Amino acid sequence: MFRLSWFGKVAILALFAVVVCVQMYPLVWMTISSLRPTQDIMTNVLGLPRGMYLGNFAQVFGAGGFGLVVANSVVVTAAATLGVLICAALAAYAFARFDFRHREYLFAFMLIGLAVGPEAIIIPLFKLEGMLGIEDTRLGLVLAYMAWTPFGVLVLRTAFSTVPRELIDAARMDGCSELGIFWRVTLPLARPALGTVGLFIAVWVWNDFVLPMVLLRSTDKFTIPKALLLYQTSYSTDFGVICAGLTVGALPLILIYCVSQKHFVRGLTAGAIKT
Amino acid sequence: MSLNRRILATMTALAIAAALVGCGKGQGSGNTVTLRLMTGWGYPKVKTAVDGLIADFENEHPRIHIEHQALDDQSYPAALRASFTSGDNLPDIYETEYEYAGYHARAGNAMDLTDWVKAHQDRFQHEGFVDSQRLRKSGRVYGVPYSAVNMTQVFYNVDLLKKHGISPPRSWQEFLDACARLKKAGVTPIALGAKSEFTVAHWGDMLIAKQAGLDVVDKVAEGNLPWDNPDFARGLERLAELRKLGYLSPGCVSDGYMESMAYWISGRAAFFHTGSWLVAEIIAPKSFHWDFFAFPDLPGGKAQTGENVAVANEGFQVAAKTKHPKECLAFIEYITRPEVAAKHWVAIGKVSPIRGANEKASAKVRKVAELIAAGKRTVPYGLMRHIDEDFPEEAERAFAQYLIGMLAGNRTPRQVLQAVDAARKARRR
Amino acid sequence: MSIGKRGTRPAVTALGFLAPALSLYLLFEIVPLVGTLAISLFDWEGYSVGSMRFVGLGNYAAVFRDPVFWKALGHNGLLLAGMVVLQSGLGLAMALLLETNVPAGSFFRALFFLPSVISVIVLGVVLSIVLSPSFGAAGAALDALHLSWLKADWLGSPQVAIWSVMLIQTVLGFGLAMFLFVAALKAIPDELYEAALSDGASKLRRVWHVTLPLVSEMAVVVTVVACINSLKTFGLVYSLTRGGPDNGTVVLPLWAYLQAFSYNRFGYGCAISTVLLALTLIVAGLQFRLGGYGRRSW
Repeated sequence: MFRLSWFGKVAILALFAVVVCVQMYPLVWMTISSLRPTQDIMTNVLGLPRGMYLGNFAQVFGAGGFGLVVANSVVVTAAATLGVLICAALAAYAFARFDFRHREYLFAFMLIGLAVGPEAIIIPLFKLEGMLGIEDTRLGLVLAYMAWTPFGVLVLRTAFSTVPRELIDAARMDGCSELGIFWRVTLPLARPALGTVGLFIAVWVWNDFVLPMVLLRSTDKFTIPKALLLYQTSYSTDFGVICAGLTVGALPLILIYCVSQKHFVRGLTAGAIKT
Repeated sequence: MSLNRRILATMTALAIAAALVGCGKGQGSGNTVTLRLMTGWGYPKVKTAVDGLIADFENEHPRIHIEHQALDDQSYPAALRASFTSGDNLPDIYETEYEYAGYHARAGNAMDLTDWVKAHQDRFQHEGFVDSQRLRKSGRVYGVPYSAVNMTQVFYNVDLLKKHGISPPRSWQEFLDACARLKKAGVTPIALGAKSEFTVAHWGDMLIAKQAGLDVVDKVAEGNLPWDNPDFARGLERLAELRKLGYLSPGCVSDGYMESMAYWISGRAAFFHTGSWLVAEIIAPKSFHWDFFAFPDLPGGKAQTGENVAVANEGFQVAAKTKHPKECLAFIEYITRPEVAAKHWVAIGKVSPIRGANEKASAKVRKVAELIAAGKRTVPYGLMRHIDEDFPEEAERAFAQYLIGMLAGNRTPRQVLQAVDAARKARRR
Repeated sequence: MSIGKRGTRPAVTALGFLAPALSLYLLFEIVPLVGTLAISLFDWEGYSVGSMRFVGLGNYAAVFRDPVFWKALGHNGLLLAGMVVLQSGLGLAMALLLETNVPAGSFFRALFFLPSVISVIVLGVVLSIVLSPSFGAAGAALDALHLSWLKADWLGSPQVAIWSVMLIQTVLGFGLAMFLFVAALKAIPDELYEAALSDGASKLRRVWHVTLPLVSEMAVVVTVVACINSLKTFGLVYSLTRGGPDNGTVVLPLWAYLQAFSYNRFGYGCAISTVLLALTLIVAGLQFRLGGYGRRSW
């Protein structure tokens, strides 16, 4: 869009580099510390590893069942993300496309959920899930995470409303049903927004420990953040082991994130409107 | 249609019957009884110890099976209370830590064990430990203590003191002199991480207990004296002095417990004050030599010799609504035998409140046990003798946050005490 | 783009699209929320069902008498203003910068969102240590860059701490805002820019006349999301300072959580959450109104 002079490029790159350094340092520290025994970390917190110490990872995996924990995280995150995207996209389409009575009131009602933090409703939610028989289940956890749908509805409604009328009308004239228009016309054009929402939800669900803290009890259903709580008490923290667990926990996310970046770009250029 | 309806009715009846039968699940088959034990001891080292207790118990009582639900330390309180409030997943026996014993006892979740404890009174080393499970108003006991911690000690870096020719101080003046010497040599005397709140609150407790003496502390706990009294203020002034003299770590206000411990272990500070749980929990290289000395008496302080701040911080309670009280008590009886507690619990570095259990422990554990035993009277951390006394949690937070403000130079000692009084009053109904 | 007005068929179709989201939302968000509202009318320790005591609006009266509530409200107000302006502004600025032909743009764009991937526990621990005067890491770095005048007890001074928290949250959290703006910017057809260019518009003019109007709706979304997040989250604050020093960084959701889960004043904690929710809705509603969201007709 904008062309920069040579000087402009350097200046902006410098700014980016500074920001990235500040942002990345915690991640770097975490990865480095996972390769140090905790007693070394306690002796020199910001230091470098003396060698490749794999004991922390051994402890994380050796306790048994960490593979299952990772699998649980993957399943819960994928299900919650897909669930939110589908429900939110459908609802956002309704808000953007149709003009029905009380539309804005309903929209406002749906956005109330956006303002509620999970801690505020966790105990009634626990009781509710107990009554429904889904407490201490992965399904119960996924459904609780679908509380993020309002965020998706908000962002996607904005994205959908930018789809030009001509394309919709053309599809209608070709005999497409509403669902068909939704699937074939609107969704593809909103790919960046879908990606953003999906990414945000996935990251949130993957790292969240508040909901599993109360809703999960059986070790075979634990997600990564919940399993890692075992390595810290309310007071003390086993730095090395926690960093190892968190590194393992962050890797899949980073990988997926890097891969999905390509989809972003493809979606962005494909979405440009050519008249 | 009527045939379908009949089928539907039959199936409904069968379903209801099945549900009712299914409600009897979890009782075990035949003669065995299954108890559910819920703890927040999922931390591997501790979980193994509990599992060991269970295994040995089941050997002696083959008809009782214990299912151990070991949650992590942070989820456990919320999960336990969720169980009690929703009625799902109720435990038969559960562990309690500090003030949680009082919450559950007051809520009626815990079985009254007064008679059992009285019958086994001589098992426990100190009356004060049983108090940790006793409600003051009724005098009834609702659980058994299982771990003890001592607060009146200061940990130190052995090599660092040796290097500067300092021997472990035995009086407050010696302590101040040691700090002055260390500071001059460029070493931070005391590592403190006030952000974690309990760290600075412990310093406050200790200085108050040593300055005012347990008679005054008791009067305050019973509501006959406010926190804002001259003895308490004088105690807190000593902490302000330490800060003013520059004896505390530079980041004492914003560092947390682990950061200040890392600061101490890295050799930049000599003294570190925390509870005796550190003996079991410290993670440091073998090259780090540490030990501890008794917290010195304060000059002009009213504390008599042998007055300690120690508490039985961990214990077990039996659910009031359990269907197997006899079996639960059998478990309680088993684990409170000194040899059993010694084999599993003391072995991982915990100090047991049970008489005779600490005898074959490691040197440092024995030293802690001796410090506790030397105390003729004890008062628990937080200065509550009983668990339902007038020191609600928000008073604790007010105490800690205002102390942090005092360290930051914002508050005076009297303001700290007045904040505690205000918080206690706001809570009283 | 909207079809029909007040007809029954569009409403029925719309309901079909709305059904999945609406039903799950009602069951798993609204029902528990009503539960929280109900609990706020009781004095309850939260340890057994029998001990609930009806107090009506008593908890709410106590909320308004609570000095820490007002302190926390002030902090939230400060963070809100800061987050909305700084985070959205930084997100927009970065998105615009990424629209230029700066090399490795997509590489950096990918990196800016990564902090959100890291657990707040790690962020809090690491930043505490780096900024700690005890270890002196940040101080040493600033000395090396001849920026010693920036040194302070960032997280240990009750006056400075809240600003430090704001700055940290901005730098770590602008990724989402940036992404939303990038998505909005990408939807702007190139032809519009070319048209403006051929009309002789300078860079700044092009931004002003072409870009900004078309991202204004997304800007409302971004500011609303930033606003709501600043009022709802306390993980990072808790990890960095526990709400201290001297309650210098305490925020409302943290205060509600402590009351309910640490101080066993469950009803009171729910009351604080309810007040917070009401405030959030008012602020968000105002933002929507002022931003003119949803008024556009297609």
